[in-house]
Amino acid sequence: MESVSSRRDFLARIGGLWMAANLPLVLSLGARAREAAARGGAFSTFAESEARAFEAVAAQILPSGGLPGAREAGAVYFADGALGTFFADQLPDMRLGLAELDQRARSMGGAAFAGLDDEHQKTLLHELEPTALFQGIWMLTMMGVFAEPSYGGNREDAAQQLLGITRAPTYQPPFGYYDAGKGAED
Amino acid sequence: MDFVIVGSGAAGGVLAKQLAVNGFSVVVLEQGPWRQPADFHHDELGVWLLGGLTGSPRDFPQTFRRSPEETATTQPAPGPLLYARGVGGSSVHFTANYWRFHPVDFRERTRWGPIGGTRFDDWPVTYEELEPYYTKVDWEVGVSGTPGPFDPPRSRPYPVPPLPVKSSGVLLSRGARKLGLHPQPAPMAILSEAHDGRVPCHHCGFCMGYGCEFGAKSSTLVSMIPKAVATGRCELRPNATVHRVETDAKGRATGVLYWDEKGREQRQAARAVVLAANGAETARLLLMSTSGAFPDGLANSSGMVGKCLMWNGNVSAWGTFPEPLNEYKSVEVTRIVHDFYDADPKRGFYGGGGFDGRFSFGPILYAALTLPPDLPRWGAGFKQYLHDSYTRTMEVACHSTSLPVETNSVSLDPSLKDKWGRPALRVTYQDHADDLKTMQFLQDRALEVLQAAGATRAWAFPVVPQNIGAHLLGTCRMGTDPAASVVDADHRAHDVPNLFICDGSSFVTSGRGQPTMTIQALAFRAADRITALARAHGI
Repeated sequence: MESVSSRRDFLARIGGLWMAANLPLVLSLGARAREAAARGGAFSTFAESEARAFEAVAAQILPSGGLPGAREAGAVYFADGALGTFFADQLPDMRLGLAELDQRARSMGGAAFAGLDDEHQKTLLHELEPTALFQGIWMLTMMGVFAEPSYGGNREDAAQQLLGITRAPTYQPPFGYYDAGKGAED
Repeated sequence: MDFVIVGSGAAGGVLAKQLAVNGFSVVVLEQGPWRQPADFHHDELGVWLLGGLTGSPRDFPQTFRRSPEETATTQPAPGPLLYARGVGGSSVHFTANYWRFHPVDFRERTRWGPIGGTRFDDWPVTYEELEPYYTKVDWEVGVSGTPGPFDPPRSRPYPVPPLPVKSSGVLLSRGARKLGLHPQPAPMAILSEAHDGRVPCHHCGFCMGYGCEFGAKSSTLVSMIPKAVATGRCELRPNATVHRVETDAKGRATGVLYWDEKGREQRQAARAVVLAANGAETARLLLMSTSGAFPDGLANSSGMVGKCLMWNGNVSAWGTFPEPLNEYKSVEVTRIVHDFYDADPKRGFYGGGGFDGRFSFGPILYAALTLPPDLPRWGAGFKQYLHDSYTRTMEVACHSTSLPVETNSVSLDPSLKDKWGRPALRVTYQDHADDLKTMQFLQDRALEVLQAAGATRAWAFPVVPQNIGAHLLGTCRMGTDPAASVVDADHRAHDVPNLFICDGSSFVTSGRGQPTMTIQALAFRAADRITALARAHGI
């Protein structure tokens, strides 16, 4: 239960900072992400090395292959916009954490985290899992994949494909397998 | 001006409409904006994590502690008090479960006797007195449903039938019936068919926490406010934050002071003041309205303003099933179980409640808060689990009694201020031991139902004391004894003859969750009582 408890505590800890956003900033995120894409992937908030480290961790959390993962969803662009605006209070800790991660990676495998092979990345992430840095990247990854595309992530219908859902403004019954057909409740 | 009403939510909207229809001039002051249905969006991050409807904690901080001996601190998470700001109040973002109270809810002290450490008491009104007003809510606000086996007597059928059952409702029913329980369609303040000029639900799947862009959810924003304004006697002023109820030398209310949208202080005089700002904001406003005659806050000679806060118990269990349920579609709840509504001394503790089949969250909070505890949290297996489970998971959410404990309260934080300079809301809350036992009891039953329904996996998290609540009940409790309650059975403050208080704060006991139906029945009744008093020149 400890992992669940800490996950919830983390959500609680940084939830307030997320809540502290104001809507104009939120609404500007999609535009910022589009601008970043137009500049050839340049980031507004992250340094290039930070973006590479973040994206590499996010891609271990929700890997590529088969269904879209964090990389295909552009989760790093969501994080770049969010940490520059409504999560700005989290930016110093995130910067510090990503720098330490790269330092640890270099001492372990001779390269920044994004440059490690898959096995070494996984080994390091197992060490990282209990930390606030991992939890922060984890939540930003969930948001970057599942939040509305207007926030800069969830590209190419990543959330819909990953979750196996349709995306329609309205639906009609039957909604699922168990409510289809007469006498479904009998 | 006859009446100034503070708050335009579940109660304020009803009071505004009823008093205006009855011929009185009314001004409604609402602290939030006046959104239209087209302003509501399907945006989990914006609504649930960025406070799109509830407001930013940076602007409106709150503090929390378990006991009066502790110094309260801010919680970075949403809350501890969850409510929406804007015209329609929390009726805009509620889930829309509309259970009536049962007759026993009003008479539990007589039935069970006193409970140590609480102010467990009977209500000064009965179910029979409220029944016509529950029916008014059904028809005027708009409730979908059909009577169930444990429902109290009703004088008129529901105006529209239950919403179409979802897979969570089917599975809840199957599991419950296997255990000998009696599931029933959920009464919901969401239209299943066109009613009263409004369109029915389009099953978009964004109800709990969200505003309804179709106007099918029966918030006062769409059900009451338009009718109030159409009378020509009701003016609604959004972005108007009331910070003081003024009184004269005779101890009568003369009006209120508020900040308008530009931050300018304004005064609104009225023959009578009606507070319907919710169980947190109403209490704060009274506690802030001190004077020589009311040194402990207005209408607070009993010392009960802000006390006996009740949140209801809220716990859940989750299960996954072999085939897709697709719970992201349509309304939150379609079936409920009320077999455990009544308290039962054989359980060894006081308490009762009900549970429903649902799927609370969008994918972000689903991943963060609800997954089985032993699941890997990253990697290909985690990703595959999300893919396999998101459409195949349901939740059984349990809702139960909270006892009125005097130390559970809303008060003024001694140091922290909000953006207006008002003292921050300070919450002191520790669930009564019987409330925690009731939550555990219901969670155990919920797991049994999921397993009986054929869940391939069922799980729950440990029951722990709550630190967040969306049901803001009991903080200006109703009663016949001015030394032990804040308002009488007419919702008139014992201490101030032309001050009326009607919202969740009026509750004497908590019911079993889903309080809005009763808040609105009380508001319809209060409007009748206030009208009668006004016409008899009794205010």
